[in-house]
Amino acid sequence: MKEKNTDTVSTIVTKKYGTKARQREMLSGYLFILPFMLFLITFSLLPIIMTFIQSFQTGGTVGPRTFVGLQNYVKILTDRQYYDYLLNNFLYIIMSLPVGQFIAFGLALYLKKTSKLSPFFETVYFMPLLISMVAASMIMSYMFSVNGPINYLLEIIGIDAPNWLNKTETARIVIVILEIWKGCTFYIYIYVAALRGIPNDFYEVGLIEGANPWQMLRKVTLPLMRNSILLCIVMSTIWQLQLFDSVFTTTNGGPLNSTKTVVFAIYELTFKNNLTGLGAALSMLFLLVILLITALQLRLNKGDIEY
Amino acid sequence: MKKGITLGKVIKALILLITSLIIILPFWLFLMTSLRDKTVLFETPPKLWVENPTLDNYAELLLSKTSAFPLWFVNSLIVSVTTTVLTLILASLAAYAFAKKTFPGRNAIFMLCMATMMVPSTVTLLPAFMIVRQFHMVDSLWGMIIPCVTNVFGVFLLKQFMSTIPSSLIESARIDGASELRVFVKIIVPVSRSAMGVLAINTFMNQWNSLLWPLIMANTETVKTLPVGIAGLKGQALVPWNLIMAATMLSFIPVLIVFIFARKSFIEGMTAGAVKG
Amino acid sequence: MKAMKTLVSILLAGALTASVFSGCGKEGEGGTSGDAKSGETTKITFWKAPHASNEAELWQPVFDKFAEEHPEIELEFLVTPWESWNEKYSAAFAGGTPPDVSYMTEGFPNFVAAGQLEDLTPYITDELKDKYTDALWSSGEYDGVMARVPFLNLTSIVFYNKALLEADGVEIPQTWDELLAAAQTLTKDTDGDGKTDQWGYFLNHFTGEISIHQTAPYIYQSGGTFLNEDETALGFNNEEGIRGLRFVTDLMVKYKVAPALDDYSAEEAQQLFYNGKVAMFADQCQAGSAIKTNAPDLDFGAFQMPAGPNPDEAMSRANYGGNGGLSIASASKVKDQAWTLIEFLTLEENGAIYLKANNMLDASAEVSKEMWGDDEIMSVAADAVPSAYPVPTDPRWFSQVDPVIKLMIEEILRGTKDVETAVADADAQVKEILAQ
Repeated sequence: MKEKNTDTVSTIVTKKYGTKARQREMLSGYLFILPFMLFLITFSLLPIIMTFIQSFQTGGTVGPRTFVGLQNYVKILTDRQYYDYLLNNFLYIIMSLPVGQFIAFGLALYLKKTSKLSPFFETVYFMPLLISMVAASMIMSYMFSVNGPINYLLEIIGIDAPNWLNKTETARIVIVILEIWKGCTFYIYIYVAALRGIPNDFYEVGLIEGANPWQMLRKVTLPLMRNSILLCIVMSTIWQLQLFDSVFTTTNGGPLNSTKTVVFAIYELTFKNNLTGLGAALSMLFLLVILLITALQLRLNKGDIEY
Repeated sequence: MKKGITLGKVIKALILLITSLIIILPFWLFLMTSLRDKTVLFETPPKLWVENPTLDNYAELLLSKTSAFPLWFVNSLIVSVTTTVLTLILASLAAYAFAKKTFPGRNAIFMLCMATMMVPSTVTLLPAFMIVRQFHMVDSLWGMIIPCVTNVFGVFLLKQFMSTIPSSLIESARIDGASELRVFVKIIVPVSRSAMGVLAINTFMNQWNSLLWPLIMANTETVKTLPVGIAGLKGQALVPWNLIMAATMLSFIPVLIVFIFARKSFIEGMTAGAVKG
Repeated sequence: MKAMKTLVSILLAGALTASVFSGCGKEGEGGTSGDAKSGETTKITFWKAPHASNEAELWQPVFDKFAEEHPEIELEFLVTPWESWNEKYSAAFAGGTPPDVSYMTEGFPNFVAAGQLEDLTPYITDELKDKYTDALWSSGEYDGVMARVPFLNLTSIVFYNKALLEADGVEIPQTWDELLAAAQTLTKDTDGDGKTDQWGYFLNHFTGEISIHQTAPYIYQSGGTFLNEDETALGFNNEEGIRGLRFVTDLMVKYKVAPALDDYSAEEAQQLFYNGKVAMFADQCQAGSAIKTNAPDLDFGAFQMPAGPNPDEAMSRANYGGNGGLSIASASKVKDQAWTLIEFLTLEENGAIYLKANNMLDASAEVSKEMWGDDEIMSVAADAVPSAYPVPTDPRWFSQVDPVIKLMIEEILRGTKDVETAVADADAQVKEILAQ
């Protein structure tokens, strides 16, 4: 008999104890989120609201501002280059997300069983998390430099060594590889934690029914992993869409501005061009895009999972 | 069960090995640079070894009287540990509520929290600074800690794990007269240990490597953290990469060691005790 | 109950640590702590980005001397990394906690436009005014506000590999034509594989970012300028300017005596000279110390940038002199004391202690000559001080025009546009920016 975990405590409470307990339940709900929300509102929400206000003004990082209504938004929406940057973002995500998640999940399946070698592998996969994206970018720039190690190896095999960072398509590939190298191992740990949380009973039932490994994966593992898979995909999307450090350090937006992302543009507008109003407006528009995508992902997954 | 060397096992071994190499190689290169007596970052043509390896760079960072490295290290440690502890507390409390309690506006509030992750910190940097200033936390380690204790990803992560805890478990504890807090501490927290471990690692590493915010906060040399201190080593004409790589190595080797020891309790073995029966 | 106790103790521990650390930090009014006039000492803060990895160490003797001469002033020095410089200073100035004295580079006009930098005219004595050239003073002035006192100079000179030049009997080039000829002689395929392995010249660029100051000298050497006189458009969208731009870009694109952008990464590029693969390259004088550290066996020298067709003698050898000076924040509450520091630093017996240790020149040509007379490389750099071209101080220059010019240069060097078209396109954009 499978546990149906979708009842909230309050449903059970209400069924058995009536509305007074339900009110207590509500109150405890608010109280539990209160500390978190307090800090969030002060240090995250408030700055965002201030940014929203700033999107209707002109002026620099320092100094006076003037209200200009929707002017900044119009400027952004009518400028072709921002759509190019958005396209870059989508290209990056399409290339990096599925591959990264697939690798992370695959490796997690391998690492699920604790063995004598577990300490070694779990430590190794932890290593990319130890350094900053900037440091990782420097390594990748070197790896893919014209006379660097990767081309060195390619030449030995006899393949023509591409000029990675100086051509748009290959530059994008380098950035994707960088993002995957640096980012995907983190998800391994989430998946391993989730996988190890699946009690063996489920697998035993599967074995009794004569399922082979593939069927086990599809019918037992994946459905039970839905929560964590959704988590990883949503978070990965939100983070990947805000790609910046990798591009900044490897190609600085080049060659000829072709690898730039939206956040890169926001950074430039705010801190280089000193046009903070435009930067704020672009951020707000981008927020909408990410919000839409996330909402879509959550919706597509409604099924069993309660919110 | 046959204990043979199957094709599957060979493939598995190869994949694990190759991926490990891909990860270790860059770190090896960093290590080599830190042992180099020249300031170049990497050699061309590519080499896996360094001629005349030297420990001078490490000596300079650790032993020289003018080196502020130990100070940076301690500051980073304080900031990272405190942030992690506070983050875990706040996030787990909130995640429990989102996962297991109903109250009006729950979904909307959660989406609002999610939305805060979708605005790049580039633009919120200056407004956040002004707010922190209002609290007189600029130029202090607190200023680096407090604004960073809200981790929405953490709430999302714990929420996903907590929602798999059967409500009947909670309910039976309540029947036994346990208070809300007791239920939380005695049941929810232990069961979410592996997820909390992941969150702890994530938070700690983010703070440890965080450059921009501590940079903005540090107005005196005494509150600089490791990334800020290391960034200050980059002069203009001559960037001493060997020194910087040595500092980078020194900054993550201790963390790696801690991870190796803490790994067992966080990641290994947690079959969620509650789900039995 | 045990769990509750644990929870409580964690929170208590957190609170305790909290109180300890709030003691560590200052009470938030970081920079302008003028009210710390406890009757004994006044505190001033001085921020500077590092020109050396042991920046603070190099400054210590200067600060010790300052403390001796001015015991009533307590100086707090902060090394602010180049990385994220904009964010740090924007936050500090916008948030009301700016440093009293700061070393400002090209970004300073933005702060002036926002009224954040003090006009230092009342403090500047005639003696000080005479010490530095007009070009230097004008580089620190914007919109009538004299915001920046010249402090250091990093003129650019051409470094050369003595052995390579000697081997081919090449004399030190004095003019453009000689430079091109020398570079052509020195560019060769040494191992017969059909690819050039030795380059006569080199237009180096920083990691991934092309600096306009690699090509700008040639524009000035030819008679062009960055902006036209009333600062409404580019000053090199004309015969002279294009001639200069064409000369330098042709070295890479047409004559191929300098490696193409694609040939090497910035990292590799830096090492080319160390490895004896490049005969000559122009860079700021501090590069000399980098060469000494990384290629201790390399026998190298330096000469002034070869003269272009500009009739003005000094400008015919125009070079990039770096761009930095000392400023005082308007919000500072201790301006007089801040000025004391600045004045102190401009005196050669003080500032020069740091400059000498750091392989830099003083902003004054005479002082530089005195400091470095004996040094083979640095004396050349000192000679180049009068030829440093001024950089426009309109705030839109650095924040908006500079990126346009950078892109323009990249387009030319990558061969996607020819010089005239690229300059014309850039000029159109710049006109629009400056018209606002």
